[in-house]
Amino acid sequence: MAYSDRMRGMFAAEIESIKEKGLYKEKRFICSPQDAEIEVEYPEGAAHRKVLNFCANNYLGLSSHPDVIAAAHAGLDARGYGMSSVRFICGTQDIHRELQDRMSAFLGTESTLLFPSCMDANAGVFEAVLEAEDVIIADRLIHASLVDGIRLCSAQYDTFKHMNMAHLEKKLELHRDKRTRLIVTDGVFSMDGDLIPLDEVCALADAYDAMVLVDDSHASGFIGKTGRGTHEHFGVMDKVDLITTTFGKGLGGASGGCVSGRAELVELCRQKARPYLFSNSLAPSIVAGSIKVLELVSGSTERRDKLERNTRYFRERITAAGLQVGGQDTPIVPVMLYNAKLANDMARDMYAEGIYVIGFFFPVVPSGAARIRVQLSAAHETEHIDKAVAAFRKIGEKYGILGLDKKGIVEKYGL
Amino acid sequence: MIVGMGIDLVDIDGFRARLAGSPGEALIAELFLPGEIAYAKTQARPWETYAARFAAKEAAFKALGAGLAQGLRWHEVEVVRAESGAVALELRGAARARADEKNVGGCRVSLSHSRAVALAVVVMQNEQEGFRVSNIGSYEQRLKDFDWNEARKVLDWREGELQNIGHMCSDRICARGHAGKTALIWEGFGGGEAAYTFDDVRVLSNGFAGMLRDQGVEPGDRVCLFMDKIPALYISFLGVLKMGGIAQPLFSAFGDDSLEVRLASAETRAILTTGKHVKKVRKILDKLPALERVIVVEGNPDKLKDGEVFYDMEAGRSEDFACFRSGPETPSVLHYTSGTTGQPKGAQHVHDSIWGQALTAHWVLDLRDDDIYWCTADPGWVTGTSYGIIGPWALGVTQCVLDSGFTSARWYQFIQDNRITVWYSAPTAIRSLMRDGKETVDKYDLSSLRHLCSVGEPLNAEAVVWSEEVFGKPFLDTFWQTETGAMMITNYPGLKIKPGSMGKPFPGITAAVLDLETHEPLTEPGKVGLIAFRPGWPAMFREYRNQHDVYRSKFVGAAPDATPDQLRTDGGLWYVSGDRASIDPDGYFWFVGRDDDVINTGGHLVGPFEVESALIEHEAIAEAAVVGKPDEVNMEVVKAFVTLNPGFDFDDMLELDVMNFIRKSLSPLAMPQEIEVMEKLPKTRSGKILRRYLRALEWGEEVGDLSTLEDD
Amino acid sequence: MDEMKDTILEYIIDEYVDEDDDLEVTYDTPLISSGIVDSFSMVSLKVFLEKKYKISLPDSEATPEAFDTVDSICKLVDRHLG
Repeated sequence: MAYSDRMRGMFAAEIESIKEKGLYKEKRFICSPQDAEIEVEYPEGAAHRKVLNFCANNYLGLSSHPDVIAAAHAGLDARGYGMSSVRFICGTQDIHRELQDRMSAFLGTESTLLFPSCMDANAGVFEAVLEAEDVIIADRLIHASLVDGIRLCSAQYDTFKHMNMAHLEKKLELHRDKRTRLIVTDGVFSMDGDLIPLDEVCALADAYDAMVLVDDSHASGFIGKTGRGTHEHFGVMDKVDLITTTFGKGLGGASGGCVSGRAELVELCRQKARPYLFSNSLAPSIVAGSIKVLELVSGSTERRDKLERNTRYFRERITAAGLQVGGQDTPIVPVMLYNAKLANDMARDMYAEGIYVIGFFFPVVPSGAARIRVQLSAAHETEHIDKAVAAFRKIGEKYGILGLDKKGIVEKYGL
Repeated sequence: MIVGMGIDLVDIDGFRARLAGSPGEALIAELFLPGEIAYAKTQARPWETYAARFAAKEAAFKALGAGLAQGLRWHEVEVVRAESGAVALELRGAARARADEKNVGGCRVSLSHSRAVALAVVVMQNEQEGFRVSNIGSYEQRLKDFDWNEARKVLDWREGELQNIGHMCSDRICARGHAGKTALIWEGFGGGEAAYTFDDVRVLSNGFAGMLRDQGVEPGDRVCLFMDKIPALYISFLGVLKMGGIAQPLFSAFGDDSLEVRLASAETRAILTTGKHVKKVRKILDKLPALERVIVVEGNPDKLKDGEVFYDMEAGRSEDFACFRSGPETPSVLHYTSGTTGQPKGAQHVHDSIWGQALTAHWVLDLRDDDIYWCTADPGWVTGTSYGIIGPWALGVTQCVLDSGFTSARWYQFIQDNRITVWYSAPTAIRSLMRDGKETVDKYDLSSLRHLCSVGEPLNAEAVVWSEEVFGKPFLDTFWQTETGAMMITNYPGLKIKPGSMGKPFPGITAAVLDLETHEPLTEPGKVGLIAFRPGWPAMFREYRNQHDVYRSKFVGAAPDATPDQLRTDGGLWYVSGDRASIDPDGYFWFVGRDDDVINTGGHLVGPFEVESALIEHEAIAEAAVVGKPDEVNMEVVKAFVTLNPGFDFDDMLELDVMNFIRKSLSPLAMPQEIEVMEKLPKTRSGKILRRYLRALEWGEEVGDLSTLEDD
Repeated sequence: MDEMKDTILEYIIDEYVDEDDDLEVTYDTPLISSGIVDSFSMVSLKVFLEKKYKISLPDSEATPEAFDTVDSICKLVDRHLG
């Protein structure tokens, strides 16, 4: 038999070694809808605990919004439970078309194609659009799903130092001889919370005859004056050739992603992208919910404004409390701790204080750059943020890191 | 004598051949069969090359230390490394020890060619260093062809001798030449001390016997002993038995209500007490028409009331007393035990119990002629009579009694002063000792201790491991009850210990776990069921006094009209102890919980012992009691009451830490939903945690009989 | 050989080290295992070596182990030269 005792032992040993390295992921169960306040079962079997959630991608607080839920219900009633088909066979409903059209309008693009997730969109887009004669020039810290997609495609690729425009230019020059150059970057980087200077990127793209692809998953819905994304923020809305983004974060949080941009490129995806061709169509209830989400975010900037206020408020207070934070003006706020164990211990103590956050460490972030990544939401009220800051202050004091800079923390805890 | 080293298993016959004619031969033949060898120490005569030289070095055997004292079998020792000058021996399941360099000079030990297991077989010659084979030798061997005549052999019993516990524990010992041997070393409050030889015990107990008879007490009458752990308690116990009475020892801490219930139930004829406690008796006297004699054995004779008698134990010494001719089935001791509901039950024992008590004391407590033994239990509780009087004295062993409040310092001092060798204690005391830590232990010289046992509650693994670290040997858990009269499932010297396990059935005891529904013995290892025994062992209680129905209810499959005799002798029945356990693939029993203590949460059964053991492994938690509490969704959920070790504050962070810690050893279904910190846990006087009390509080129910609650 | 080491070292510092990073890279600094170069960005180094020394490095040999230090990279290149 294939799975003999010996094999079982072999795999069990690998799991054991993950535990020994301190890299084991614990199980936590949320026993309530996703919101600013949630009920958590941790460790498994323990009584449920009410905690404030500061680590969800629920940027606009729409994950459990009653209007969105109602729209999803209506979608179930009107268009059923599942499509049981890939898109191109018999999996495309009118509501799929509607969502795509609305998304193009929202993002200011020519065309949009839905995928089961942005992970799938990223996996499929490069292979569909580029050939071996092309080159992809990517920021070194792009999201893992983009890396996977780039590796899958036959085009060559190269990388430039994170957000370093001079280095990007050098690479563009280096690869002048290729058929096309595609610059790939995140709009907002998910571990650091900083924004790519997209205006400069587009300027370079112009100068060196290159295309630009931006993964705006951590920006769609709230970055930019009316929440359309990084390209709105930098005033380059018509300069970006491809945008991949998700409906699984700020835009509702259920499922779904898309590729949006120049009509021909999107059409190539529809014809050739493997995840599009081979994966089941997005469920009607989610499509209906997403349409409602777009309606809500297009109709008013109330939510993204509140998120911006919350972000500013948190950053001010946490810095005043004496903690080091990174990133720019985005709702992703990494509280820098550098030492992995420190990050883990503090996150655990924060949980005991009723604040749910997670420590991030190698390999998710570079070694020696461990952090607790706080994510703000429009669902947070001031009192929630005050509680979180108070907890950080209390725990920060417990570990004696308040007021210390990187050098100070590293001296105390090592890397 | 003979020393062998590096002998492989297959060569056993060759080894035995070489022993032929040597003084060790008989000893070896008696101890084991091929494949099983017990250890002993030697001052060896050179016999074979390096093996002999090695064996001659005492320090190497110091390294075998704890293992040898427990009579570890050969395959439990592995020579893991040999360098000139030092030998490291790993005792599987026991502590690793290293031989002293200066004592093992320049000798090399070769590792056996197979499996790197070298047998160190050393046959005893010189017993001075105290390393000996245990009394039981090999447990597996003892199981083969066992019958209770073993007990008679151990006591060197001749047919026709008088079977009376009082006589056997005093007169008989004197008759066998030990009249001058110390029987009892006593220390009391305020530094009082006393010592008694077996002859003292004989004549003083004669005095009690004669006095009771003179007072009109007759054979079969119940005589209550109601006093602190003073010498008179131990000696009068024997006196009562010698005149054929039924001894009814009761904790001196009982209040008058508790006293009344038990004296009324037993229709006690006479009570022996002290000036300190007689007031309680006076309060209830007119409610007890059967109680005709109140005899005060210590205190001020002038302070007595009408009808009360003063008896001076010393003045009453009497050379002769015609001992009552009791037989095996003559009632001897009446012990009251509390159930969860209803009144306390009187478990009636008989003189035949001595065989069980003597043999278990010999094999499990490993008592020998030269031991100094300390049983910490009060004779108000069955441990204090079975193993605090009958077991040791039937074997003619010296024992110590400490009548003072518990502090770890006082206890360690007692051990040090008296050079105590064998110690029989209880988990509640051990946990208190753990709380006071190794630092306290290190202040005393406890090197005399050679063997430790525990009784009363299942002993958590943590305590077993701790005692091994701190005393050099583990406490052996022993499981039995008031009703069983003697140990039933226990650990043994020489049998590998699995910390947290009850051990294995005593030879002659047939034990099983029965399916909760069908009451058939379970065959699948690990499955939880009711602990059950085939009736008929010598120390088994003969009935619950005046509660035949309750007695019958303890026997699965009993006919509705069966008499106690029928129940006891029906080999087709099972006696259920009221506890749940499972048996592992190696045959070890693992306690889950009292039937009444098991928690049913959402259809899953959770045993409190497992959860409690996991909790106390956490450094912040000293003791834990786990019960079910009501829940809307699941009917019952797990709740833990804990006491903390010094220096810990139970805040949210500590709670989360504890939960994550125990999650590593418990399934999600056993996780407590709530942890409440208490100053101390409610316990019985005998130190058992009273879970039902906590449970009743949680459920808002009647708490039931609280007479055994410590703080009465 | 020394010239190659220097050339490669210079390229690595140029390509992977930020100006404001006070990171010291020498011939035996572990590049991959220390996180200076990760498997994704390693591709530029591979392309550079192939171009500069006019060799072809099969994927099976362009492993994180082979690329971990300047020294090991030199050895790899050497093997493929003429």
